[in-house]
Amino acid sequence: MSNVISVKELSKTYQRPLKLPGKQSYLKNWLHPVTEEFCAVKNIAFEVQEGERIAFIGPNGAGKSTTIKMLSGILYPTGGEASVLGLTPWKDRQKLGRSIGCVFGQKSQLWYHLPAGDTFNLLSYVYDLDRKEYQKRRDELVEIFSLKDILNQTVRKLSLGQRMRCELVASLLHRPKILFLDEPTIGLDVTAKAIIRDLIKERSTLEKTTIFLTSHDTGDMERVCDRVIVINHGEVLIDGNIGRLRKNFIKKKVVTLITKEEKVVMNMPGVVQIQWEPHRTVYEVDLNLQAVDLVISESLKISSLRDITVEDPPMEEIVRGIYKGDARGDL
Amino acid sequence: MATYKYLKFFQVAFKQSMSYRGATYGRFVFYGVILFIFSRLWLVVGNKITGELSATDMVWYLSFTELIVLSTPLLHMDIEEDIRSGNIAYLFIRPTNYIFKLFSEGMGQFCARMLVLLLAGFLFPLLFTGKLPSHPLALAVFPPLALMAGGLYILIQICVGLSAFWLQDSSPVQWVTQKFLFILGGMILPLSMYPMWAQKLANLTPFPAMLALPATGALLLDGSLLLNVVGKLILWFVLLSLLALGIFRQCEKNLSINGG
Repeated sequence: MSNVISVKELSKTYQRPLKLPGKQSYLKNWLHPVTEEFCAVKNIAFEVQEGERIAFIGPNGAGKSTTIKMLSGILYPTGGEASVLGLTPWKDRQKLGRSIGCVFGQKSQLWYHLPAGDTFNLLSYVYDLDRKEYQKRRDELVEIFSLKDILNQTVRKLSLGQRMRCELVASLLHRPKILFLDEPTIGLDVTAKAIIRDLIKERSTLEKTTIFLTSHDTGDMERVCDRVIVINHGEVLIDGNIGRLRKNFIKKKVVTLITKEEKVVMNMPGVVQIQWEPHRTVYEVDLNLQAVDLVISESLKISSLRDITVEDPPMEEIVRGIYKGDARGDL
Repeated sequence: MATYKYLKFFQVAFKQSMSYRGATYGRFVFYGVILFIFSRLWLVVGNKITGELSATDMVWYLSFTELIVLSTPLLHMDIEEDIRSGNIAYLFIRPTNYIFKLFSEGMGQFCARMLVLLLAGFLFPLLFTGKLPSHPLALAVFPPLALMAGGLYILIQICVGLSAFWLQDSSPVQWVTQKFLFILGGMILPLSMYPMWAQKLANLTPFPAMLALPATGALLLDGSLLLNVVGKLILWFVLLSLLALGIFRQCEKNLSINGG
């Protein structure tokens, strides 16, 4: 498989206003604004192969959106190189625009006062699509994304979930080779999120579309992507397979005991009770201090077990741990 | 075909503008009130101070200049909104030229508004003065000139709107530009009634080409004057297009997207 995205030493620095404190500084701020240099992205490097589904995650202000905007050609970098489908995004933006699709969760590409169907038609002209090919593609996507009933409704009257499905169709009409998704499920309810995730994954699998997704929701990452790049303070911390991320960064396990006894007390180093209710006790096991099999043996000794479950902590906790610890490296 | 997409932008904007009936009625009424007030004024003043145009033609003059002003959409607000909301990101990555797109949409809105206001622009002066212009043919000559003048005003609006890339708020720039247009463009009085120094100053700017020149050109209906008007409209169109494209190139480099 060939690389569709190649990034080398990419950086972006902004000048941001520095507000001097105090009322007397107001005039000074106004007459002679002081700025400071802020490095949003620092010399990042990675490669993405055709058809890969990448989660590009990081806390607020980590540099995710800035990177996606440089890769789609919207922003000029202050240093480094990037190649997307063999083109330099900020130099060949319009040419690249024909081969990529973008969905920015907090922004809209649909004409607000028009029905979504009219936007699709307009976009077909924007991308110079063949009329027959476009109609076939639109009908196919309308069917898959269940838009038939809302196609002629003005966009401003659509719910957020409906609008997001329309946004996705708008970005897929011209069969992009890469789909950049910047928080595509933000603000959606659980059901709408699940639908959007399934639709993105299905389209990517069927059409070999490369997905480059940023999100704060680890569910997007787990359900849609195979690979994760973690970025913080503008630097790549971790780059690798999502399964291995779990394996390498899980430092705790959650053990739930359902016992005949109303209460069970386990005194072992690294084992902390985090929940209790009659006949049900939940322990968190620090894997650096204690092995899970020893915890199981101990629980068998001290209680009459009815059931036992051993779980990984939620992905969100793993990611939070990575952000906190600034762990680094390839997985 | 590459130009076809801009025709589509024109069509959509035209359609959308036609659907805002409330705003159209509002402009219609405002137009009537302004023309009524000034028709009373000019008919009282008579032909004493109205220079090369008769009192009746002065009412028609105002009708023509107001038609251009009221038909031009406030595009700078759309651009400002695109920048503020961050939706500009989508517009940048499409295989379209943002300036061409804005211009097409602006012209779509202009034509929709002008189509409706033409009726008011011809009806009200006739109603208030009881006379057609001195050269009735002016009514046929003016619309194409107004279309070209509207194009210039839209280009100015685009340049004003693009200032929001640096200022975030383009309304102060718009306020100043609009006052220049009203004064130097000769919205109420033809430039021939200005002192010579003011005429010279105005003629150095594109504003007369947006209002005074098409209106006087149509009303005086003089061959060489008309040729001069069309020449100036084309010249300013080229210069303002280059200015808008040049400003946009700088905007692209300075772009930072609001809202992450």
